[in-house]
Amino acid sequence: MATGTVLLLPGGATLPDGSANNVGPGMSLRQGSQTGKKYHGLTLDFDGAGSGVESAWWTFRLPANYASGGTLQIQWQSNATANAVKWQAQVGAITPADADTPLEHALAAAATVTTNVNTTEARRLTESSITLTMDSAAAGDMVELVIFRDAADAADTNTADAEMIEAAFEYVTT
Amino acid sequence: MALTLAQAIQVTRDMLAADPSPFNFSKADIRAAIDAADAWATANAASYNTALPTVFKNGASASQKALLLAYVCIRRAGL
Repeated sequence: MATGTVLLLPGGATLPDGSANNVGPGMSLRQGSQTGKKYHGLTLDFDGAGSGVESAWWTFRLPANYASGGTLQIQWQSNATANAVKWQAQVGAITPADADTPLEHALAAAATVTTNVNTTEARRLTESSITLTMDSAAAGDMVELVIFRDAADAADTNTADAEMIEAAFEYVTT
Repeated sequence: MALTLAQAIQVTRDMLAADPSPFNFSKADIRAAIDAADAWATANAASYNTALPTVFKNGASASQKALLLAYVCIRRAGL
């Protein structure tokens, strides 16, 4: 048994269409402050000032060596040194020939974690870990995974954007 | 007339977009501050109007007077 990883990058996300209850985060290209060749990276900027949910979706085939588990490690930053972000995630697992099509399948219950921003300096890297409810997933399933933030959630006190740099889906291998 | 929730959210977004400084106020804190500023504007609207020179006071619309005050405050803050 070891730990397997599926990377979930901002550039690989599918963003919702912007209709009611289907709003996606903004995507920003961020440039480093190095001299000469500068770091460039994308972030998904989940709103903290508004009154609703912003979500981003990833779809992948659960690897053949998947045995159990499912933890999401989200690496992010925020332009703040106080208050907290409540990250939430849901998974849907569809086995080929399931009665529900991928568009019909209901997701498992949301799992959450509330993490304070770095209190020393704005935009220091912060990591949040969510133990997912895995919807009876098995190797070879098609996985629908959504990461979201509800700006109106009472536990989410940070007003600034939560800028997701990348996330990793980790699991126990066979 | 007090700002609605949607207007207060827009004020917050405008602040976040206009100033790159770290934003360390919770949603409750910023809403309380917006409400306080809103109440102050209501309480002092007549005083502000009185302070304006006659030509502008009599010729400007309410929107123009609001923009004047907002932009003067913004420029005074170096934004």
